[in-house]
Amino acid sequence: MTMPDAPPIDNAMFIELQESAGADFVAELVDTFLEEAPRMLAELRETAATARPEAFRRAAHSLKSNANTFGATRLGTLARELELGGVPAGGGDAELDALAREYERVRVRLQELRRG
Amino acid sequence: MWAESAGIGHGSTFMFTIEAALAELPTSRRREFVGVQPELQGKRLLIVDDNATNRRVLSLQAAKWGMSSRDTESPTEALGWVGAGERFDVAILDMHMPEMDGLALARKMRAARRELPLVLFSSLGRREAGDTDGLFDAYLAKPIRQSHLFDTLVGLFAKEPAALVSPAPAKPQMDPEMASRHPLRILLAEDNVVNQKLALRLLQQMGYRADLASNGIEAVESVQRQTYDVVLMDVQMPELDGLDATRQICALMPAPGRPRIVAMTANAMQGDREMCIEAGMDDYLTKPIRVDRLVEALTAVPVRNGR
Repeated sequence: MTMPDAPPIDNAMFIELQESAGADFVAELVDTFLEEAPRMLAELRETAATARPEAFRRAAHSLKSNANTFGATRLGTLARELELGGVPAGGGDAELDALAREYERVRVRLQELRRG
Repeated sequence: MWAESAGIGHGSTFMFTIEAALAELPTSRRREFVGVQPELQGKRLLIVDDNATNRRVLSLQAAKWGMSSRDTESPTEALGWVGAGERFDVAILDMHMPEMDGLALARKMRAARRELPLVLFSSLGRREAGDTDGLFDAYLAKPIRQSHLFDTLVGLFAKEPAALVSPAPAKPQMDPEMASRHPLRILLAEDNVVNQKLALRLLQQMGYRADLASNGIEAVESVQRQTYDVVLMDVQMPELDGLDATRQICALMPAPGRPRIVAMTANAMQGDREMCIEAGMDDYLTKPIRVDRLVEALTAVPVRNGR
């Protein structure tokens, strides 16, 4: 597992994103992500509960991809583990709780960063 | 929960019932075009088309998504509204109109209000328009498909705010003139909204626009309907993934005639690249997209004539 205390957002990656796409645009993109991510987390819960492994992996993949875009490396790693491993044995409640907690850290940090 | 058995030696059948919540339809979110759409709500649409049915279809659909619209059959009347400073966020112009065709109207509108996004509405989409020299921001083919209209409008508004607020200076490797030196017709096949917006933004900074397809099926349909020089193809998409979409495109269109296909994938695992190439893709980008790699991939696309 990754270190629990790693910062939620890798600043260098976030700055690189701002440099290539523009800070104003990235602020907007953060808003889009914060709108979309709860849907992905809900989709993971739902597909785990209803045994839809393909949809589960796809939701994990989307979350991983977006997390990495913003430099949310730990969130990206957790999502990647779910993408590669599929629905964890035991239903995945613990894993999805950990994912939701990490997302919460990411959300708070992104909202700070978006205000500049 | 209960059990039934025919007695010792015959085994038992255990049965149970559960109360489950109604499952949501497993369609992707982008397929739900019903109701007010946050990206479109409050936007004002100008519709110019001599066909009353088309005008009605477009204005009804726009209203359902929370947009307001004003329509006319007369290009002159439309120019009057625009000239008088009436607020419009986007204009859809029919190609064939008796008084003035869509191209002539677009030129006059550009002269009157340079920043107004213009969409050409014609039976053959972009192909029919010929060389419009950046006159239009997007193209809509007839018969109008709800999903295409939605993607087109959302795509335009996704790019628009960036143009209104002054963007932070981009890195020097981003050349805003690239599109005029190396013009390309680009289809972006990507289902994830964040990735869509970011890719469109990066392209926009090089002067490119792109049409959107939000799954593999739409991508296959789009390349048959319109000529593209390059498809930026997400590998993981619902309905039909990028690998299968590529296989279908390659089967439908022989090599020199088909667009170049560039994979975009967040997998970046060993063997991934080979899988893409094997499916028929020509190039491979990993996500998050690096600007220098995107420039490289676009530069490698030959500019084709025959618009």
